[in-house]
Amino acid sequence: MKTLEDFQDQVRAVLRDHARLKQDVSGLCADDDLYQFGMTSHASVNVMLALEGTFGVEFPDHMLKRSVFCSIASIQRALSELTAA
Amino acid sequence: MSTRGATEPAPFLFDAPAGKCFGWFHPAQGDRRPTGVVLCRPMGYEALCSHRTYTLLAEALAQTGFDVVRFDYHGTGDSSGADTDAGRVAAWIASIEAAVAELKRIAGVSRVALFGVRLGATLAVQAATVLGGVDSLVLWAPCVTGRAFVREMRAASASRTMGSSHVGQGELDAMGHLYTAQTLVDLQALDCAAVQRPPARHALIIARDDMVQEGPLPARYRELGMNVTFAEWPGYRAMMTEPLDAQLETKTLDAIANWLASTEPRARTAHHAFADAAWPQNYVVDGVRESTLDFDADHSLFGIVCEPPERRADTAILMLNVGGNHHIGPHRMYVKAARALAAAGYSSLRFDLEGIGDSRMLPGSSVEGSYFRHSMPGVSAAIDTLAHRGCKRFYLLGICSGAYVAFQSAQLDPRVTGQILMNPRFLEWEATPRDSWQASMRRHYKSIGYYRRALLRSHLYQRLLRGEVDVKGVAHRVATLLIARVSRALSALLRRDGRDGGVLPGFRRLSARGCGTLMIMSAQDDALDYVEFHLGDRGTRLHGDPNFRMVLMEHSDHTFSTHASQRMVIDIVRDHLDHQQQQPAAKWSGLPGRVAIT
Repeated sequence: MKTLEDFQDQVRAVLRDHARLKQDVSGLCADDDLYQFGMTSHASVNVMLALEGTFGVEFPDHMLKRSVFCSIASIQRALSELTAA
Repeated sequence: MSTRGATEPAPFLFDAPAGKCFGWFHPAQGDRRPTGVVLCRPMGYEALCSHRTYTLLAEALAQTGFDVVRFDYHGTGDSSGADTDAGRVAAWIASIEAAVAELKRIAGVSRVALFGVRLGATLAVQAATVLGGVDSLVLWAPCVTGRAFVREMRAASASRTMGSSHVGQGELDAMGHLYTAQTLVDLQALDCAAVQRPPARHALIIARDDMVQEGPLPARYRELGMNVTFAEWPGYRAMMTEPLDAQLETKTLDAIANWLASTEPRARTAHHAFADAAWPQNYVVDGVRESTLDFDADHSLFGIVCEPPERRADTAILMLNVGGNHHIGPHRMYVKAARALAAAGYSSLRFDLEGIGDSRMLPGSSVEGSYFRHSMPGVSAAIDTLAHRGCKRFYLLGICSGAYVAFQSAQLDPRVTGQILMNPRFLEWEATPRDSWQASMRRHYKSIGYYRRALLRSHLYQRLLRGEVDVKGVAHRVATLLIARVSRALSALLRRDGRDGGVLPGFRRLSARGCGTLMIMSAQDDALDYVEFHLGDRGTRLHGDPNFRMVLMEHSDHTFSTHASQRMVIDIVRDHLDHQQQQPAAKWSGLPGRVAIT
C-alpha cells in the first residue's frame, strides 16, 4: 500500500520531469506556488497529462483550473479525490 | 524583393479555398527524389516553438533530395485570414491539400509525404484521407483526437490568472489562439484512429520523448494494412520549449529523412528547372499589401513589408523579435498589428534578426548570443531598406526583449523617430550582472503593485491561506527592489555611477532629440517594477516630458496573450501614431477606458 510520502514523491517526480521549474523541485514546500517558480500554462498541461499517465486517472473538466495544479498540496488533494472515487 | 537563387529556399504564396497561404519552398539539392514533403505545423504557441525545427527539417530533407514545402494554414502565421473566421478546421485541412497541389506544380513530384507535429499530425491524417494517394505520413506526438487537443487547450486557458471575460459564449482563448465555438465543435470531431481506410501506404509515428506512449494509432494503422514504424526518438521536449531556449535534435531530423528515403523507390531523377514559386506583384492580403524583403549586406535578413492598399506610407513601424519568436510575434500579434496599421495608413516591417526565424544564422552563432551583440546593426539595416523605399519616419516597436533592442537601437540610430516599448524586463544587458536585480528578473512574478493592491482584497488572503502564493519568492523580489534602491541612493551620495546606469539618461537623451516614447505596460506584470525602478512610479521621473508617455493596461499578461488585450494594444499604438502625425509636439491626452499617465 502506498504511503503519503510515496504519493508525494510521485507527484514531485512528475513535476521534476514536466513542470520546467526554475528551481529543484526537492527544495519546494508542498504549498509553494508552482506558477511563481516558473511553471507556464504550456508546462501545466504536460503536468496534467503526466499525472494522468502516472496515476491512471482523468481530471474531469471542473478540475481543469489553476487552483488544482498550482502546488504539490493542491495536486495531492485533487488526486486523492479522484483515486478515492 | 527576393534575391534568392533557384536552388535556395524561397517564400511563396498559394491559393487555398479560404484565401492565400504563405509558405516556403525548399528545393531538393543534388539529385531529386520523386517524393515531395509537405510540413504541417501544430497550432498556436506550439507552432512558434517548433518553427525552427520545421525550418531545419526542411533543410535536412532538401539536402537528402526531397522537395519540401513548409507553410502556414489559412488564418495563421503570415497567411491571410484570422482565427475568428468561419470554418477554421476545414480551412486548415484544405490548406494542406492546396499545399500538396502547389508542391506538385512547383517541383513536378509524383509522390507526396506529409509530416506533422501534434495537431499538425492530426490535420495531416485528415488531409491524407481526403486526398488519397499520399505515400507516407510522419506523425510526431500526434493528437490522436481533436477532443484531447481541446481538453489540453481548456486546461491551458484555465491556468491563466487573467480572466476570460472578453471571450464570447462558447469560445476558448488559449495559448495565444482564439478557438470559436464552431472551431471547437469541428475539432472534437477529428479522430485519427477512426479512419476507415488507410490514409497512406507508410506511417512513421514518433512518440514524445517526455511521455513515451504508443497510443492506438500504430495498431490501428497496421490493422488497415499500412506499413507502420513506431519510434521513440529524442527531440520533442527540447523542441517544445520557449523559442529562445529551443534546441534541436539533429539526429532525429536525419532519422526522419532516412526513414522517408527508405519508403520510396531508389531511382532518382536529374535536377530540372522548377515552376515559378515567386511572390505576386501588388499582393493584397486582408485589404492591405504585403511583400517579402531580403536585406542587409548579404541579404541574410528576412522580413515582410505591410503597406496601405493604395499608396506607400512615409511612416514605418519596425516590429522587433520577442525572444526567439519569429517575425509573426507572440500569438501572431505582429501580423494582426501590421495589417491593422496598414489599413490606417502606416507601413510596417516585421522581420527576423540574425539567427532568428527565417533569417540566416551565421556559423558558430547562437540565438541568445546574436540577440545581445548583433541585433542593433540589423535594425539599422532595416531602416536603410525602408528609407530606400521612401519611408521618412521610423518607429521601433518591441515587447519584452524586443523593447530592449528598440531602446538600444534608438540610441544608436538618429533616424529613429519614436519607440513603442511594451513590458521590458530589461533595457540594458550585462553579460555578468553586477547586482541581483537582473538575475531576479529571470523569474516571473506579479508586479509589486499587484500584490499591494491585492492586499486590499480578501481574495489574496484566501490564496495565502491555501498556500497558493510564493511568499518567499515575492519577499525576495521586494528585497531585491529595496536593495537596488538603497544602492542607487548611496551611489548618488558618494557621487559614483548610479546603479540605474543609462536607462533614465537614455530616455532623456532620446526625448531631447525629439524621439518620443510610448510605453505600454501590463499593470500586473513584474516588468512594471523594473521600469518604475528606473523611471519612477508611473514614469514620474519623466513627468512633464512631452515626448514620454506610459499607458497601463489592466487584465493583460506579459505578452498580451489574449485576443482582447491584443486588440487593445493595437488600438493604443494606432491612436499614438495618429496623434504623432497630427500634433507631434503637444502633450498627450489620456486615453478613455485605460489608465494613462504622464
